[in-house]
Amino acid sequence: MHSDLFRQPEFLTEDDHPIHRVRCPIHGFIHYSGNERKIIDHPLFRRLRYIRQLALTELVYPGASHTRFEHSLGVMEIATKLFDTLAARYGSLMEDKFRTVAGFEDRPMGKARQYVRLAALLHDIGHASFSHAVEKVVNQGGGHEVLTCQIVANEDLLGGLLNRLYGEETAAFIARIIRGEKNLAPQLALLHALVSGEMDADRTDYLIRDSLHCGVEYGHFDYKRMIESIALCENDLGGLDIALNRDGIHTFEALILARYQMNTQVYYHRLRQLYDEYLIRYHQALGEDIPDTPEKVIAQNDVTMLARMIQEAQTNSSERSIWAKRIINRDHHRLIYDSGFNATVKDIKKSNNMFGDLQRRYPDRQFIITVPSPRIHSLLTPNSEENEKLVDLQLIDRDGKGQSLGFESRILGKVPETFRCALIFVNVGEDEQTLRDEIARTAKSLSKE
Amino acid sequence: MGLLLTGTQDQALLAFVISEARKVADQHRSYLGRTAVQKIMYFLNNAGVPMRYRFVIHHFGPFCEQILSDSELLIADSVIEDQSTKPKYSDYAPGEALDELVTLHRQAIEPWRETIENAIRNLAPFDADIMEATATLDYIYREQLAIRNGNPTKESVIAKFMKIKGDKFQQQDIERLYDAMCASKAFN
Repeated sequence: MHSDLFRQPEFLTEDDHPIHRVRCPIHGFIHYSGNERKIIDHPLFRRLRYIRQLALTELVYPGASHTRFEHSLGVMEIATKLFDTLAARYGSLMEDKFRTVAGFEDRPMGKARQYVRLAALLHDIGHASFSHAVEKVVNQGGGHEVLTCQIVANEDLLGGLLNRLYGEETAAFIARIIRGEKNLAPQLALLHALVSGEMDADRTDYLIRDSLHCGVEYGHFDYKRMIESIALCENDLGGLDIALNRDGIHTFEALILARYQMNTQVYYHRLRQLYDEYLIRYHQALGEDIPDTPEKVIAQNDVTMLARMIQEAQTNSSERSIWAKRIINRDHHRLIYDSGFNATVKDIKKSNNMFGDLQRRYPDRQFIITVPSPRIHSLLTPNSEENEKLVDLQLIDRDGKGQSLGFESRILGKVPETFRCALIFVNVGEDEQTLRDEIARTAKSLSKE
Repeated sequence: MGLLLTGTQDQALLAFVISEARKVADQHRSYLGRTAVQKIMYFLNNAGVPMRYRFVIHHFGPFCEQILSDSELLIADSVIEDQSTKPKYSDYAPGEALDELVTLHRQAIEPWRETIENAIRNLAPFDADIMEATATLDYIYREQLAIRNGNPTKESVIAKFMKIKGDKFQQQDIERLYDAMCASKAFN
């Protein structure tokens, strides 16, 4: 399998050599080219300096004030390392595959490497203020991927610059690679998987970076070993899938455990969920000012929105001020029910009924329910419920034969693919502990009915 | 009990599609599982039905994670039910709150009713082989489309399909399926 000669990275032009560098708390120095510098210095990319990676998580973990800007650079760095590791071992195979795609006939490896760097760098450029927290309500619920692709592909936004620097059609290709959707050629699906897959640059960077800034250890794993262990295999249809050499199994297991721990302890911390809900309600109360178009989303960032909230928290003039006060004064509802992270759909339904009951029993109190259901992994394991949606990641032995990683690992089958919980909060003051306890008891007894 | 966890247009569309597909599944005495719903929604997306669901393509076929989590929220809000008695399977049917949610977005859904009904009819009776075959045809078509001057034809796509799948499928069945996919604009 490792029949390829070692390949050096290929640069498309003189202006694509990495002559600039910037310090990163995770990766040391990140190098980038003159052309890439023009993108990094573009106002749309600079905007990411003012969008925090983890929204209001800083109210729970005060160190979590890092931004999408440094994360994007980190993803570019890891994606490049993954690509170069694969190119060194499977260069001919990759080249043959990429060369079949229209537009990749000339210098397919240099082009693929540059495109994966750009896709990684720009994968988050469409984030609204407060990142994921308010995605449901801004830009008509389109989500950041939709806006990212619009920004990248639109000639008047970033598309024009990309096409001028790297040639026509570049912007369209990058948007397809980022989105990984049906309009991406299956031959290039590998590039999307390197940025956003089961063993990808995006998650690797954010787990480690978020851990560092939050001051927790949950997200750390030996990602350098994972990069060294990455492999490729051809699937039944002739496409290329990311695989793992057998010696990387333990670091991959650690990655999945890190995802589980970070989701339960940081990303879906109960207070983080509650403050996300406040952000949603604040934005819903913005009326005509809600960023409901791409132009309005791009015009805002965390700094502009927080400045507005600080002002409105000092007034009593609107519903907005209620939610602004909650956020700015860190004055939150109190948890009275937690279903636990293993809730079934039936449990959620029950929690939902309970939420209605509590509202009827305590009509002068405001209740809030949150029901997150994040995915931890999509790997096929012996416990998988639905095979078709899952990724059968291959573990490659020394003889080049593949085994199903999810079946080989003794640990992955034990980590849930997803977790689900329902949390119910109520607005009681700190001096109303007795009432809070009473409501919590009521909730507990309702949950047992 | 009002709707607490659901209310978006996408969720209403998903619920409506499930209720329509259930009728067809009943005629065929078949199940309506998660995979079938994913594929129906994928083809509706290709046919231009407005939705924000995003499908990732891999060799197991198109898949949208949001549809899976929205289905669970629809169950929690009693908009749909999962009638399967086997823990690893699903069998969706309309729930008591279906009309409440669909009515909220009736105006947006109604113009697409015929497209939805056609796509469901073409994919019935939603069995695993059909799902596997549609995913593979879709993959091959897109692979050939990406090649310079690529012009995937029915012959070229089916020839590669038969080469990959061997004698697992009858060629005439795959040709029929290919035609149905063209009719439902699956290759848009």
